[in-house]
Amino acid sequence: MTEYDTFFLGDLDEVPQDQETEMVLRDLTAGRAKYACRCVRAVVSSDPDRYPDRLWPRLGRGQWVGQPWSVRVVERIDKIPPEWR
Amino acid sequence: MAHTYYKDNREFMKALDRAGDLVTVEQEVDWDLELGAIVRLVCERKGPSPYFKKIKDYPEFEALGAPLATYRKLALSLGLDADASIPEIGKVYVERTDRGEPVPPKVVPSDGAPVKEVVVTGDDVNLFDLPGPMVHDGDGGRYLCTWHMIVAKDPDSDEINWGMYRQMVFDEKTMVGPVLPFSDMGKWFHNKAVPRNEPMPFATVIGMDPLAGIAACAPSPIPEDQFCGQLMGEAVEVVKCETNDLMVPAHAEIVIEGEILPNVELEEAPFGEYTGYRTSPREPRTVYRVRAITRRKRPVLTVSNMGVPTDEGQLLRSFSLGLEMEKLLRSQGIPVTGVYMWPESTHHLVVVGVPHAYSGIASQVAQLVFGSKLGPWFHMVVVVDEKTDIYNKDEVIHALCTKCNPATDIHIYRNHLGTPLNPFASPEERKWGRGAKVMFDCLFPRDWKPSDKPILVSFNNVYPEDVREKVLSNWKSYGFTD
Repeated sequence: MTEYDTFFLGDLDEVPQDQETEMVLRDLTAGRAKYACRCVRAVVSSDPDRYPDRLWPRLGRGQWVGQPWSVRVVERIDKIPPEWR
Repeated sequence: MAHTYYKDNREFMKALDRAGDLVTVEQEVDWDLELGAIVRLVCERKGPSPYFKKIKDYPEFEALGAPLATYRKLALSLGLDADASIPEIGKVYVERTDRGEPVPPKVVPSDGAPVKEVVVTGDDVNLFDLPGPMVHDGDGGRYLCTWHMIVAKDPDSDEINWGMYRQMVFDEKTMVGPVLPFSDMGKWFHNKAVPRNEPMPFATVIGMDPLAGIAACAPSPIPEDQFCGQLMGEAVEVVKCETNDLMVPAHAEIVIEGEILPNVELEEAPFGEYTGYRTSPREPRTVYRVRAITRRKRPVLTVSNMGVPTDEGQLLRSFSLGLEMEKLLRSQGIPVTGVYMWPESTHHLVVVGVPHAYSGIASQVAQLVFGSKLGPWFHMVVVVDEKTDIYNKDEVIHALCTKCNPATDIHIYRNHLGTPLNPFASPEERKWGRGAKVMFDCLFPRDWKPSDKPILVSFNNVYPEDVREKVLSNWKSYGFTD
């Protein structure tokens, strides 16, 4: 199981669950690349057991929420145009 | 003639050590919060700079925390005694920068540049090979660049800018950060590169010599590479980048080269900022795509830690903003006795000393400084008379609380420039960079009759000179020890 966190700007109640959404996940795997950001399409749930990977929500100014969610990454996205990668 | 200065950060570290302003940390520290927490506490205690010899996961790197976060370290950087007073430090800064000619940089070959000891380009570039620290818990990412400068060039001329714009590591080849539209680099990027959809080259310099850092912080109209030469009294040595034509200080520790991409944004922040708060939320911000990393074999990463006072940004920005404002006011014929910005105000409050030479002088001072290029960075001006010691908080607070009439002497300027980082600003004001300014006029009105003016009751003001001298000369014989 991979652990991620992410930042939700509004209230957690407003976060769309169980539907594909574009978002940025931070990979919390220990080591040199910890906190690498990944642009993805993913589905999330406040149920920590619904999807395979763990997601720790934070609010927009970094506030730690403390309750784990779950996430399934559908695909990685590269937002940099190909000519500038 | 060259002034006393340190050609690179390593020489400066030796000077810090000799003055007792460096602590060598031999035990391993974790880049993930521990290193940042140490630097934070050093800033809050105004302590010596920690020199980290071992960083977890990064055995080939070292780090220096809080390199210039006290006036002692600033004094040393200019070749002064660490105990030099703030006015003494300011005098040297003004003498070097206001009376001499700008000094263009000197280009040296790559083989004479320590920052080229290791060169990584193309697919091999990986920002996670550098020990970017997680500075504060809750930050949006690893801020590799907290005490650094970005070199950029006007797309339409040879004008160069060195500036400090924070940068967060997003992924292996990408950094993100805010480029505010009123900043020097921001004007070029938003007004030229973005409309043309053309990437703008950049070079991030980490571990530059201390005077280059001071130059990058200073809001001087002189290009910073030449301003740095003025501070040094001779040309700063620069070397050409590997993947673009920008010139970077040859004696720096690490250089990250690349392009700032137009019309692409990625999430950045939150970050503990110089205001002492995490104000700006995670938002889409400007993207830096990295093409090359050059560095010394065992580089020393410099780390500042923004938060409650005092960090480098607060101290140096306050120092240079105040002195540049003093130059501006003097250039307009205003008879100021001094200008000082308290670092503890997170460079938001400036104190101006000026005689009440004519009616409206306080408003004239406020309008000039708020309307200048420096204006976005502060919003409070306190104007005191020429007898008030602007460096003495007790005196300034006394003047503010006794000479400023709340009904007539507080002047508010609305619909002004603001920054998105002002903690007191509404979310809407932050979004649009709007703000308000205020001036506290602490000069007794000129139209009062002399007999109406209150008399300051202080030792220096209400006793004859012979009595003061007698008391001072007998002070210890009275039994006082201090």
